[in-house]
Amino acid sequence: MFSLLLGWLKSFFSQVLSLFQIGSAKSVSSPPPESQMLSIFVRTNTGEKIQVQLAPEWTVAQLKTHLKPQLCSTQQHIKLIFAGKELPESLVLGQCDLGQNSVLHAVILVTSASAATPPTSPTVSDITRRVQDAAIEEFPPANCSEKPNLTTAGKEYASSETLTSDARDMQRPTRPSSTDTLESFTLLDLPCGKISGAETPAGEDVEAALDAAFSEQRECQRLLCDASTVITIQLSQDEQEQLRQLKASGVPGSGERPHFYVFCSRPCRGVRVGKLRVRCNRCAQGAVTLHEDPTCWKDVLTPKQILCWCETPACKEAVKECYAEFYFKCSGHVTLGDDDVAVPLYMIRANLPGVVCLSCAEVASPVIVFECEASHVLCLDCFINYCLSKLSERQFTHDSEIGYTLPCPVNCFDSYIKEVHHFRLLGDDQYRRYQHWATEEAVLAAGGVLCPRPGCGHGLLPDADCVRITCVGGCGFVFCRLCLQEYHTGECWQLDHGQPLSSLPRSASTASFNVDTSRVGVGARWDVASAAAIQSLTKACPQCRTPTERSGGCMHMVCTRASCRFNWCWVCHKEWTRDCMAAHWFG
Amino acid sequence: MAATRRLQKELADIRRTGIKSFKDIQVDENNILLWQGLIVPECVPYNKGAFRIEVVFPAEYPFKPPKLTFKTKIYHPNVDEKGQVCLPIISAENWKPATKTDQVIDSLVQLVNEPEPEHPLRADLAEEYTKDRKKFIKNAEEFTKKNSEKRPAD
Repeated sequence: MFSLLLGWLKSFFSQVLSLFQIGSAKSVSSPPPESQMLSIFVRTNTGEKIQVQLAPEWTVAQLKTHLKPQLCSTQQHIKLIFAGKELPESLVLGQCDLGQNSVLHAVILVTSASAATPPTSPTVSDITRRVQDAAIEEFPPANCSEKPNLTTAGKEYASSETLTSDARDMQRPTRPSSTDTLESFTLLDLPCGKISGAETPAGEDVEAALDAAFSEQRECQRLLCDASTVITIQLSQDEQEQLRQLKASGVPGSGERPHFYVFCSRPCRGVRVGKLRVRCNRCAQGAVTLHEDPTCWKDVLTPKQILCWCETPACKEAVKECYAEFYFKCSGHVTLGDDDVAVPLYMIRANLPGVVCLSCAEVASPVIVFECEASHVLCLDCFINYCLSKLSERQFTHDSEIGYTLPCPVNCFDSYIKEVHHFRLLGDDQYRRYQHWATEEAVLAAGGVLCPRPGCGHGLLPDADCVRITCVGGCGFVFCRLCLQEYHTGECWQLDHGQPLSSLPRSASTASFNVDTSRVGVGARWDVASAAAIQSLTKACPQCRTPTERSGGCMHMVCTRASCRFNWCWVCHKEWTRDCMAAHWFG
Repeated sequence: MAATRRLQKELADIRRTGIKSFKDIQVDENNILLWQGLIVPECVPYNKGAFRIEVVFPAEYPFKPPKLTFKTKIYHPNVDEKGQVCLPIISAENWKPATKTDQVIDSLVQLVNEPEPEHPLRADLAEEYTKDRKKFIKNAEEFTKKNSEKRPAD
């Protein structure tokens, strides 16, 4: 009986104890939940790729300690590179816009002991002197009062020590830049508080980012994901100044962090926040550090604007300089690999100054900012409506450089949308319609014709003097280039109010190539009733033959086709003149 | 819909501040794209009457301009017999999406007060206006008396 009671008491106590232990275990050690852990890849310059689980609150130094046993011996040093920057030891990883499966680049530094050093190499003291000289030239005295410490990846070199290959590489001849020598060593030498300070996770720090953007125009001291980088690239100096004044006068703005925006064609299928990344233009690897920060869209979008150091062995050995190649990733989904890039929609920005939409007069964000001098602004909804209303009437313009595009809604000079991927905002169906018509306009602009057979519309580029056209590669229909009817001999069917088509005046620029596009796919011969209705209600533009209805007003007609816009007289059926104005302007 | 949102905002602004010379604004409850109102010109020979106009906004507003029509007959060189008026601010070439309806109405009132015989829709009235102003004013006043609506009290 006693032993039974003892047994019962024992089990009771152990149960209580275990409960207690569980409780205490929960409260004491609280590892971050699985969902908060980031799973990233680290790729080394020797071609290794390892997967690492890390917590966003880790510093770079912690990550290095974590990586060392897996990558190199304790004597060696690692330098971590992400998005064109060597990450300073004290940086908290959460401040980089790392996502799941992001790739960090690790460069294992060869120490002086293990490297075979040619005797001609510059010594540390040589370089220190150069750095000092540069510092005196470039920085106000306050900043260079201390003698710069020459370190590479945390290792301090003795003045007599000969530089290793890595340190030498930093001296490679580069595009002349006043801060080059300094930049080579700044990333680890300068207090990294500056880098983390430029990071603005919340909206209220836009002012700080503005200040950072202003003070660090050409220096290489911030991350590509910093708000100040976004501001520097997206806003001109004037715009930054205006925004600064606006903030100073207490206008709240939209209170958000600036971002890059991209169109993610898959899997997100929409506009998303974009992440700016950089790689080497020779080897396409990301183990590069930038010589200078990009400060405008041209730096980012045009190739070969900014030099970089590439850590890939092949590039290091090559004499040729490497250029930075910028690209964007979508932050809306876990990356699908190196090829998973997204097209930047550079007209879209966060509405930091809180400008009202030109159309709906409301303050939205993000917005589209047109490239005209007035920087006209539309919210994304109104932009879509604007494009759809123009697309439905086929009022896009074919520009030989840009393609099928639109100006700003106020039709400002030089305001065409140059990156036509902005039209992806219209959605898949409408974008397909856009592409279809863009192709047709390109064929017409190149002097081609579209097959008039209903359901065909095949683009053809026949010789300029060819009148009998066969739809080669399409439906095989043989038609007359002038009247777009089945091919015939003799005069064309007299559609245009009793005038033989061949007698109509045509301007030299469009010659006789233009096709009545509104009839393509509608048909004329096949749909006699429509043809008759069009014939009785309309007159054809004397230049491009677009059937035109006069619904009221004066006799001065302007062709509705965006690529024609011919001024003509409804009465005379030829170019509008002062005589028409005097004789029958209003009928 | 963008047009609806924008028009609701414009209408609220107009109802709050009012437009000089544009009274009795009526908007179809089911269709905010259709407005009516009374133009009350200040100048001779139209200052004794009120003229009902209709403003029709396209679904694509504000990317396309509204259309204005006089519902009351008016003896004016720039308004034709059908009530159509040629107002530069809402022509396809000049239209800007940022232009607000109160600006359009202001522009119309200005045209009614000061006809532009150089750009007429009725050549006969333009000629009379230029060559015999007295006769034009007399005819217009008589026409206004006969056809126009009563001016609303302020």
